[in-house]
Amino acid sequence: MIPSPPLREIVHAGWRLFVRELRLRYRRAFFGVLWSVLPLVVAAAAYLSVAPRPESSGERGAVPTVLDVLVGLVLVQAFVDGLNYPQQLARRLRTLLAHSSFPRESLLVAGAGFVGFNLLVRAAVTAAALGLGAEPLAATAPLALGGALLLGGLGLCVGAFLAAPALLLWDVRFGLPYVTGLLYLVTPVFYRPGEEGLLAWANALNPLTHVLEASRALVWGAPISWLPLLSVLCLSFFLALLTPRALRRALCCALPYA
Amino acid sequence: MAGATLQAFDLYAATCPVLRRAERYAIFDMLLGRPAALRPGERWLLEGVSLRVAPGERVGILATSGAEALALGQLLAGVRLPARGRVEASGPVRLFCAPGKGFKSLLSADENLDLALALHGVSPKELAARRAEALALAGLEGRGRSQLHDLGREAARRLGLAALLAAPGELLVLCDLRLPKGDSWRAAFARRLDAASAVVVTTRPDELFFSAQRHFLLHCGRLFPSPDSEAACARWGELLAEACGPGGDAPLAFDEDEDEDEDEDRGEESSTAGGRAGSAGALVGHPRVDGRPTHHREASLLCGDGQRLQVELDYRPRRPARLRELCLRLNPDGVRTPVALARLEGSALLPGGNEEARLLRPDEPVCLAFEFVVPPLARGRFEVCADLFFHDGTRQTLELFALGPRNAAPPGGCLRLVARALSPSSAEAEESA
Repeated sequence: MIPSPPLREIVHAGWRLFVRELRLRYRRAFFGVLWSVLPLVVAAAAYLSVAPRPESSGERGAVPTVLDVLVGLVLVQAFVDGLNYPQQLARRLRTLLAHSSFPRESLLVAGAGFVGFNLLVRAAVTAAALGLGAEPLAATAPLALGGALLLGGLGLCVGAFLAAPALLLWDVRFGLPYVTGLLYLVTPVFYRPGEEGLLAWANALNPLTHVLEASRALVWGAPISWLPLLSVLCLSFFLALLTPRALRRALCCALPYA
Repeated sequence: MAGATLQAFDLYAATCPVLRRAERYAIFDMLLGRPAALRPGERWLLEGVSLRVAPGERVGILATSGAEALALGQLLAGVRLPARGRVEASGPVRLFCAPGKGFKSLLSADENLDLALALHGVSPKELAARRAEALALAGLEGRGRSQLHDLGREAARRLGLAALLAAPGELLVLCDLRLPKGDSWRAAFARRLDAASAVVVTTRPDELFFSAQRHFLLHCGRLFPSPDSEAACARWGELLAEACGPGGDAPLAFDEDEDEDEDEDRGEESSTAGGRAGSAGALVGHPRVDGRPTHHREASLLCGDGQRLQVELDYRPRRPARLRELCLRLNPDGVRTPVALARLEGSALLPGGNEEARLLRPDEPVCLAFEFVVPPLARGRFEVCADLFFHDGTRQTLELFALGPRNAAPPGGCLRLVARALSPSSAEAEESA
């Protein structure tokens, strides 16, 4: 067995990877990092200006309000980012991975950096939109960020399992956008969770649903269903334990042919 | 005593020359684990390699194949899983391979160094000091903020080596270092090795200059002990001169460079990390530019727009192979699209050859000649690469030489680059003469 480097070294390497990739992304852009904020601000502003006003403040109607959708989008997008970044980073860094023995877990740290960065930007825009909106917020609203972090972490775990296969099979890369589209369909972002039928089943089995609903409940001060939320927490914890070792092993198998 | 212990017990590593099958096997390995035996189409890349590196000990391994050298380095550092055997180490193993690889030309020297040092275990507190040290070693003091693109590719390699020298680590595995000429580098490198336990795996005899306690020769996947570096180099030369039998691997001096591009948007690259052999061969020996011997990786031609360039190269395949097509391309910098320069296929590849005659053999190098007009170039250096496409679907890329900036044509007009199959010793003799 070859011992792993200490945790602070892994975190530092991951942080540097994140910083380099971020700088590289915007190096040829005059407006730089502003490009990560601008599209979101424009979209949110356009959405808020044309959307109808909420039917009744504080109450959850049959159709989610604009701000409800915005909160949902931020949460699900955190999961989607987590899903995408490990395999994107592995693909971009495959030469470095094959020629250097740096800790593979730093890919996860760098991925977490991107998830966190995107989440911060989106959360700031959403917070501004919530502040401008007429709907009253609960005092627990900031805790909804915890839900986004949980979803981001869950996405990173699943994404880490896909990172090594993505080096060999481009189907993973091409298929992920479709999986993401399907995810939006079975997650109640634009609608309320179904009570019967196929969609209700899909919603119930989808771990994202429970975190999403709990986070929205925290924003609006509604009651939370704890049992499904705790199940998702346990699932995430279990996956997080498996992920680093699985990523190391899978990269060892894939790199000679990547 | 400085350093840590590294032990390898009876290591076996397999490779599959057919990429499609190899990828399928790799996916199965991820899901189910690798079987100890060979699967259909596989062959052993390394067989029964055992090695022990005591604290503070330095081991030099001279390999006759670049693929085997890289595979051994990766196995010792835990980057690759062995089919059989195991590796044990008393601390984290730092693998340094092809220094400068992974550096980005769009980023500054400082930014590239920060990442390289952080990946090799430098803490945030020490980063600034180590960065300054590395810049000084690379001879780039005060140019840390310059983009790597402006500093050139050679500077990237020097920075990569400087990062290795400045980074901590008690257990080093070094592969394919390609040290720049000059005693200062060798002295710095030797000092660094003195402070650690190290395994140096190389395909170049001149990189065994340091005082290693033990020497080995890595040939055809097996490790042979050697009494000293002179004996290892002598045997290495003999093996290099020998031709292999049909189906075997010819010992080669230099393997091809891998495609360095990491840009995910370019889909055509096919980098190999030491596992794929296929029909791949190599450009053996040293080329001559205007009659002057030079290493083919360092040959740099200054050319102007519209200048006519002639290239001749001797190609020796690693095993009998059918060459389908050969393309010469200009590779700008990994960001812009490569420019096609010349293309040979069918009978043009081997004039007058029938289907049988197109079979290239390791003992019969083929001379391929090109002529092309240098296209208008933007600023910077450009690599001229040859892509060899084989009938079995594999591809090999050889870096031939670099073209310099525009309007810098040397007097004399037409340049002629000839790459002949010289043995390294005779080439060096010519260089020194």
